[in-house]
Amino acid sequence: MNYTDEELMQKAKAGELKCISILFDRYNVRLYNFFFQQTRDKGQSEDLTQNVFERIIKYRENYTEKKNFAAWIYAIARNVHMDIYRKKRFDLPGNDKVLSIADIPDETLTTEEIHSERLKIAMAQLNQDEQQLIWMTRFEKMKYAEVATVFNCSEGAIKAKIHRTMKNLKEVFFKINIDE
Amino acid sequence: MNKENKIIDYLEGQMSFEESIKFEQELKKDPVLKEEFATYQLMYNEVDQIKLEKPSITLKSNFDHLLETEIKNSRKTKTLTFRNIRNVAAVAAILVIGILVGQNWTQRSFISKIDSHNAELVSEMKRNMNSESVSGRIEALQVSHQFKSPENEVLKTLIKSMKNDESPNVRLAAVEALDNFAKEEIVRTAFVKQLSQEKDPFVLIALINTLSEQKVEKAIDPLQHITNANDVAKFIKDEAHMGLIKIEKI
Amino acid sequence: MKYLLTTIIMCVALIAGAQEYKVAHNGGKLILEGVDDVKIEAYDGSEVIFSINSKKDHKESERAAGLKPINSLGLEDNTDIGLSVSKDGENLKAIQIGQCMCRDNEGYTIKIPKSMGIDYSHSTYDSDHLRIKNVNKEIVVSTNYTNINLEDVTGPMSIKTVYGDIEAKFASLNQNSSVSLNSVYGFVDAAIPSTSKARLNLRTPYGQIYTDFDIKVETTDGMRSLTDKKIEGTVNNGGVDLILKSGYENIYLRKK
Repeated sequence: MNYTDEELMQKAKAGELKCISILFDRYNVRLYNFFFQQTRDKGQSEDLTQNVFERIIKYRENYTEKKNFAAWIYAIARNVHMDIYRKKRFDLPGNDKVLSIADIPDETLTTEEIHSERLKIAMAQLNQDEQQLIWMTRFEKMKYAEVATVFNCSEGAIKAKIHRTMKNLKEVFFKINIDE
Repeated sequence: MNKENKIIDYLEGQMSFEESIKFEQELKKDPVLKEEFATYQLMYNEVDQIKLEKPSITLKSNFDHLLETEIKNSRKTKTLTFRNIRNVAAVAAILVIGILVGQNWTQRSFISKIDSHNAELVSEMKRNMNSESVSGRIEALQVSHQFKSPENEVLKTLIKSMKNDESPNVRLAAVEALDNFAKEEIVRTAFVKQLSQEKDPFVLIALINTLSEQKVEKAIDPLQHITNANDVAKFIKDEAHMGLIKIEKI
Repeated sequence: MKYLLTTIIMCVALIAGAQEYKVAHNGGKLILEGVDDVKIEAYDGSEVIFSINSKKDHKESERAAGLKPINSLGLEDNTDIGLSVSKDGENLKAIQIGQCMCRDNEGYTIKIPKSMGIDYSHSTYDSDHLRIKNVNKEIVVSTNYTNINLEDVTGPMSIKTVYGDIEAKFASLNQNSSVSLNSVYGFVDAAIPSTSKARLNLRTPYGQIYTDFDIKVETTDGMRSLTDKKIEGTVNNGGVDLILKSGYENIYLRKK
């Protein structure tokens, strides 16, 4: 009874709505973190995640079997995020929430924790597309071709974007000083 | 491509087996590259250790509620009546006729007004196409932008230059100039032909983009050929693949 | 100050073992094929001077001692700095033989007389950048991966690259013939004097266009044909064709 994401979505489309529940279990934590990484706001990240599943239920007819499910759900997630951004007409919280390492009580942190804080600060300096790209390619291990369908551009363009993103990240990552 | 791009491609697993062997050899020889590589490696290690946060329990309960409601609702089905469809179709037909009539009218009046002016432009363009310099020939091609409707002579000149000019920069400018007239069958046919002859990657990408935006179905075969060819760079294959998706609406 | 610095650098370079190849030439074009990481500057002189800063150690090529590298066209290094240089009609042609002899990304520095234009082409991974300075004759560039940086140029020119970024600072805008800068995956950034006259054609399907110029947008049938992705118009009442295009990145047109 171990269906792939794509098979489950096909069944849901055919009327077995319960299948979406399994997809929710597989994806809710990942999507929540996808949003949390960009917004640094727990309440909002839950709302956005909820919103994605609302759309999946509502637009289930639009899913075609050729589509990679992860790419499809992330394309929806991107739209959901974008809509909120447009409505508010200003940058989502996040970029100014984690600004300096000084805000974090340092004495209790291990070296490992300091490093991961450093990454958080560095990631916060990137723009939304860049943050999303890193999430999809590194955490989700999606192929460039799949990410390309999410961003609606060619695989070559994704490759060029990754080059830029990782260079930017490196730039900010090593600028952050940590007193150890 | 610069060093950093190579390092990133390597760490992203984007290199072929041969390329990565070559890269590893370079690493051994080049201490500067090695140092740069080490900083990227450190960063990638951090990135790959992103820790997950847990959402609260309400997320799950809210979703369950949402799904329950939808399951109940989906049992009541809606139907679209025949009368509705008929109304929509009638409105659409009127709109289409309106657009067609309007287009025809504006085009006709436009052509008659500036015919003699056009003839002058065409001969100027042809004269300048013989320029020795690349930028001179590109400038000549720019004249075509002044034609809002396709002139046979203009199209022929542009197509000739797309096919025969020795400079890829000029061929690119020709493709882009022709893009304005991409609705014309003669232009589409020329594009498709050029697709299998063009060797310059940039010109190829421009051709692929125009053909896929115009959804020219005749381009499907040559595009498929490109995606399967051995001697074509990967990024061109990517664009060709993307082009196929756009044309076939996969 | 700048000159002093250049002089010092040149002296240091000489001590470090910079190698040169000179050839008298005037007019026509300098044609460069597959030459890595080139820096070209026009100067008041009548020789084309090729130089590299410091040659690679030839440890790995002991086996090749006494032999010369040769490329697929059968051309050989006739300059001792890894280039095959020959006259080609009124032009001068240089082709790189094998891998670049330079260290890191330093590449070649080439000085050309002011009377010469440039025709540069490069198709592989190996060239990171091309820098051109002070050249007033026609520049034609076609690359796949190389970033292109132009300074104190005037046009006419036609630059195209698939992956590279293009950055161009114009001393003035030559009104004789067109200027076009095209990249598929890189950005295009052009700075021209604020009084320059030009007819613009800017286009980026997936990027954004930024400018501090007051562009007069061309009208058709009284309609402004303006979308943020494609702009046709004029600055300072129009002039030479200035074409800036990128497939996926931003276009910047700024006042210098």
